[in-house]
Amino acid sequence: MIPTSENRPNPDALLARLAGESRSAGRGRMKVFFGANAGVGKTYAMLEAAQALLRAGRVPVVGVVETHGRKDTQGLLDGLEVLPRRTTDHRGITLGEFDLDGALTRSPQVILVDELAHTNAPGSRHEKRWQDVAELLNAGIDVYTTVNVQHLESLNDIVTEITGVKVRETVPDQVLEQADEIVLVDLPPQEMLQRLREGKVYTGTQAARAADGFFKTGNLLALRELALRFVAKRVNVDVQVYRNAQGDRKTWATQERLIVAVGPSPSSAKLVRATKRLAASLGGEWIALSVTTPQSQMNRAARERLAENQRLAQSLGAEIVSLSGSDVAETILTYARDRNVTKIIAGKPVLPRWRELLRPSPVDRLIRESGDMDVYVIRGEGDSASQSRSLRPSSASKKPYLAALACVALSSAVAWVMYPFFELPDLIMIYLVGITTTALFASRGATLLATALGVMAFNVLFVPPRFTVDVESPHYLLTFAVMFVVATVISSLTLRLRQQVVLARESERRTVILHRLSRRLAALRGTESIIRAALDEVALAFQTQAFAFLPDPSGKVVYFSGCPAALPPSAKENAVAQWVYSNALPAGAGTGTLDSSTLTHVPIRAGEDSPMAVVAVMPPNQSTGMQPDQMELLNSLCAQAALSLQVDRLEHMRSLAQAEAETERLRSSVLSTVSHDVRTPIASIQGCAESLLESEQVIAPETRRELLRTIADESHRISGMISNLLDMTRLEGDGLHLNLVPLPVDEVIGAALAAVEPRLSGRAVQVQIPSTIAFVSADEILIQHVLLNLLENAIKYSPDRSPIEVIAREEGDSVILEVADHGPGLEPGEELVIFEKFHRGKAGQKAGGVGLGLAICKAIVDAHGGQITARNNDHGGATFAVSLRAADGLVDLPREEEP
Amino acid sequence: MSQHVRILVIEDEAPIRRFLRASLEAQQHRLTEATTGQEGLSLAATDAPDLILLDLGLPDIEGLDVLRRLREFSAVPIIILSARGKERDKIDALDAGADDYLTKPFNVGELSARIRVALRHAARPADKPTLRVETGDLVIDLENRQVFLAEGEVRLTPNEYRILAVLAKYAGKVVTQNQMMTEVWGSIKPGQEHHVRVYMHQLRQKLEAEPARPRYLITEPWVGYRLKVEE
Repeated sequence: MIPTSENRPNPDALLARLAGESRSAGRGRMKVFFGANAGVGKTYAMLEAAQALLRAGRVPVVGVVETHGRKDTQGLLDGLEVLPRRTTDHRGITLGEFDLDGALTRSPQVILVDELAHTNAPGSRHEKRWQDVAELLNAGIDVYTTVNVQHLESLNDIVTEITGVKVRETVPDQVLEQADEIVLVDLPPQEMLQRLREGKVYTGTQAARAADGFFKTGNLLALRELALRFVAKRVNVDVQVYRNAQGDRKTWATQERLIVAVGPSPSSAKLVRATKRLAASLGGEWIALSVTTPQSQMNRAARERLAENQRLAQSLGAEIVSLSGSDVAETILTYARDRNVTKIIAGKPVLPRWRELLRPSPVDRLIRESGDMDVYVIRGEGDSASQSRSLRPSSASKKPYLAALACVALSSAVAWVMYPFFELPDLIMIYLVGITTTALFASRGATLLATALGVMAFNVLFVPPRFTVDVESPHYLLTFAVMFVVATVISSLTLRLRQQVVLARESERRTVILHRLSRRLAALRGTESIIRAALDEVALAFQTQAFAFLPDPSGKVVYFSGCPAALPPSAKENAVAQWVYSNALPAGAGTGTLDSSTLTHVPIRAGEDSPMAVVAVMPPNQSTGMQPDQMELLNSLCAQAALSLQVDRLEHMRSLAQAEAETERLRSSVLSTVSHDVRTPIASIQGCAESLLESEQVIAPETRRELLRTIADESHRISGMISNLLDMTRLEGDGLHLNLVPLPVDEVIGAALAAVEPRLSGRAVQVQIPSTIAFVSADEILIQHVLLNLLENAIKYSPDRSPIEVIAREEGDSVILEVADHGPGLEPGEELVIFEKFHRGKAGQKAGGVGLGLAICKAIVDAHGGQITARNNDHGGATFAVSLRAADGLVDLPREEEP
Repeated sequence: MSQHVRILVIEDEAPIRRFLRASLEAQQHRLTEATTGQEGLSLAATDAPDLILLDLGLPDIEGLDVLRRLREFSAVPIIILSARGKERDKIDALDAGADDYLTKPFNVGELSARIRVALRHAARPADKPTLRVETGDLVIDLENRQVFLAEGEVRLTPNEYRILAVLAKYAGKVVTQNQMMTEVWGSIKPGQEHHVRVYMHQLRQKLEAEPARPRYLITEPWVGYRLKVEE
């Protein structure tokens, strides 16, 4: 796992380090040489530091150093005292381990202990070397040690996922957090690989194997990034510890906030460093802002440079912000006002003055429109590309220039034909048409070329003396100037118009896409369908593949298997998605964070909540990555999905609350039923039984029979009520598990009739079942329960001895079972509410039911996918109809002959 | 019915025992009571009762286990008493060798009828199979494989007859689905319970005046079938 907030120091670590510093008198100091991977030169750097100590008159002692047979490293051991190793025998192999006791006895000022993550041989005092180091520190000995980022416990998972190599030797983070000094030993991956190839890291076959497995550029990049991040976080902590130590003199919360405009040019790095220095001296915080415009077509190299500049800024403690807008200056100023920025730092434009007359540089506009903000303009480092320039389109293509040439040539040809019949000013018009046409489809540079060529061609071809550059009369110079200015103005206007058309079209397309997604999402419920719809739209908008990752309850993201894409992305992408989820920031290809991944990951997040999902997109153009405007659209789509997800989540919570309220109502009804409804029959049973007991002899035989009858009937009533309550709680509790089988209708009705038989007491029951009727597909017990309830209701709510009709018929592919009585029928408007829980009609109240019977029936029939309805008969009384699916055909019986 | 039938009641609830004692002693039966499964097992071994009423929900041993252990040493008729909604337990008990079952609350008339049927089956010597079953208008002549109603002989398919013959063999007692399939086809195959259902449906169409209110061929939902014997 990655710490959730990269830039916030762990308060415990802070406290520990403050405490550590206060008692540092007794405790040794720990200096860690920290690297991205083996072979960056940590041991070398440590030995160099030791040599420097030696020169300064201190006496460093080598506790244990692994030179891996590297000659340069070996050489640095000269002049240093090396403690003998403690040898242990382990399964016949002699191992040389660091001799902790020897070191404590020797008690040097400084000791060098290589490879902090090392696991000691069995039988050593401590299992891990970092525990040895802790003991040394406690003994007041300063320790120099080395460790690689992959050994950090908190990063262990992600390292495994990135490299596919499980690192077993880990060091708890707080060991490093409590280090007094961390020295980052950094080596770019290319140089690293070079060293590897030259055999400076591993020797012989080991080298080849290492290059094949662990040491791939992708791995090295990722590990390096992790290492840089860790150290950057650590730098932040250092600053805060320092500030805390300064007490009240400077408060951390600052009035000054600086913004620096960062682009892909190398001079931006200088800007960044200058801003860092300025911010530090002012005690302010600072933001590195990159603005990309729709026109800025950055190539991969430029994007990498931009990412590098941003990373530099981040490592120096800046907040990184990327924005897109059509106007660089406007975007910077709006953002700066939003964030109460006090100072803006920008690069000095290096354009010739005349260009600025035509089109003022963003810096000029910044200065003019910055209001009460200060603007600092800083010189770039001999690099001609300025901030504004670098954001301009770099059209590498030659086509527009060829088009410009063609337009001028065509104009010349037309003018040539017209020359005998027209005046010279008319021919100028022809050239203007050609130049304007160029502006309609070619780039700015090409249009400028067309303007210059047009003026030149006009001069050479038509201005006397013809076919020379010379002019007859100086007033032609004025003509040329006017022609040039007019052409430039017209073409510049045309270009701007064209850009606006492109922008308008782009924004229209974006609106259409967003609108379509929002319309689609409006109809959807459930996280998975929303995510799927969003992925569809994202894939459609960028003509690419889109994936999603959803968090599980433990906060780990899992690939969403409902993605429309055919193949799930690699485990590495999963790790990136995890980072995005944990940090709620975009990452992956083209974002400047974890850039080596193939996909671009964006969090789906509403407000400040933690993300609800991570969407990963394959950039449509692998070489350029996601363009800023595409990124913006992707963010908008994700924001929309986030909104839908949030609405869905709220709705889900509301329905949960509703279900809970329902359960609560059920519970209280159970209580009131038990307390009241059940007590009534119990009271009569009690009464009857007691009178029988007390005056058995004097009661007449008929009365006695009467009392006994009452006891039996009332018991039956209680039993029925309790069954219904139990059924309802069971139905609500674990839902229904149907065991659907084809059932003969006569059997279903027969079983129910048999069960109510004792209560029919001689009533006529007319059963009409066509002998050819289809079987129904139903759960045997549950459907019998439904019919039983309907029959009991019919008995309860109709006069004694009135007949009951049970009718079955087929209708389409349904079978309808009806129970009709000759009672008072339903109250008007009762047809639907009668199936609600705890509904009791007037008749029901008298009959003393709980009001659950029909609700249970409805729940069961609904679960069958059937329908239950109630209606009044023409001849009086009510009919309840249950419609169920007919079983598909009859069960095939084994063939048999009639006897 | 023979007098002084000795019945062992294994039931932990006193009111039920009291009510069973009252009604069964009124019918001249002699009752022994056990309140736990352990006690029931030892009484069954020492007393050798003629019939056992076994409650499935006992405090110490699972009713089903009591049943299995009883069956290890005794062929005495056992009628299961169980609560409503525990159909699975009933089937398991019947398949484990119980003779019949009753669902609480049950009425006394029903209990007496079941006891009579169970005792009758137990009294029949094993080497003398049932040859003829008569109930109401229905006559099943197992010797000549013929079935008659008041109107005359009814023609059945071989499978229909086989199923009816199994019901007749256990006349009055419940026959579980599994038992039926084993008796008719010699094995239990998935899907065959549907065949039994269809044959039962056809038998009712042929033998019952009102198939939905059967007089002879009773369905015990989820559990099985019973040939009702009118007394």
